[in-house]
Amino acid sequence: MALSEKMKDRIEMAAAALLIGAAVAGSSAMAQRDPAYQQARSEGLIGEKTDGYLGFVSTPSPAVRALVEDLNIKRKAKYTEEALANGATVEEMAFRTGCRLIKERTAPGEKYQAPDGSWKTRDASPPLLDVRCP
Amino acid sequence: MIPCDRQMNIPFSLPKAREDYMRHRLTADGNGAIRPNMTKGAFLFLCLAASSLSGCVQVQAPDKPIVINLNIAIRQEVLYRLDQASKEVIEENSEIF
Repeated sequence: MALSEKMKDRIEMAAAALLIGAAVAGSSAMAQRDPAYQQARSEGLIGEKTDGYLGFVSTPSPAVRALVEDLNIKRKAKYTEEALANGATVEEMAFRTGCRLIKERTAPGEKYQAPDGSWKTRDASPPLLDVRCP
Repeated sequence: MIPCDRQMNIPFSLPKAREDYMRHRLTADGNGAIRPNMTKGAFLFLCLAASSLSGCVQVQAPDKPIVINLNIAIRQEVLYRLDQASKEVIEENSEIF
C-alpha cells in the first residue's frame, strides 16, 4: 500500500511537470505567427481588411481559406472580450484594431484594404487609412 | 381670539390642502372621476384630428434609392477610447494578428 501511495505521488508530480511544460511551450508559441500564415501574408494571398479581419486578395486554396477563417474566428473572440471590457461594440473594437493592424502590423509587400475596398500593397509610405481611424 | 388660534395650529392652510387634494385627484388616483374623463377627451380630440386630416394625406415615392449607412454602428468617441485596448489585444495575441 505504501508503495502504491508513492507511485501515486510520482505520477501526480510527473503530470504537474508536464502541464507546466505545456504551458511554457504554449506561451512561447503564442509570440510567433504560424509559418503558413506568415507565408500567405508575404505572398500577398491574404491581407488586412479595414474591419479588423483578414481577407482574401485572390481566390484562396482550401488550406489558406481554412487558415484565415480560423484566425478570424479567434480574432472575433478577442475583439468580443475586449469590447465587453471597454463598453464598445465588437465592430468598434474590430475596426479600431484594424486601423492599428494596417498602420503598424503590415510589412512592406503585404496587402491591406484601402477605405474604397481595393487591395493595396504596403510600401514605405504611410498606408491609406479610413477617415474614422484615430 | 379662538378662530385665530385654531388657524395657527393647523399645519397647513386650507387652500394648500385643497390644492393638494386636487393634485391628488388629477395625478395619483387612477380610479377617480377626473383622469378617465381626461383620457376620453384626449381620445375624442385625436379621433377628430385624425378624421379631419384623412382626406388630404399624400404619399410620394422618393426618386432616389434609399441608402442605409451600415457604418452607423461605429462611434468616433469610442474609437479613441479603444486606443489602449487595441494595442494590448495585438501584443497579447500576436500569433493571430
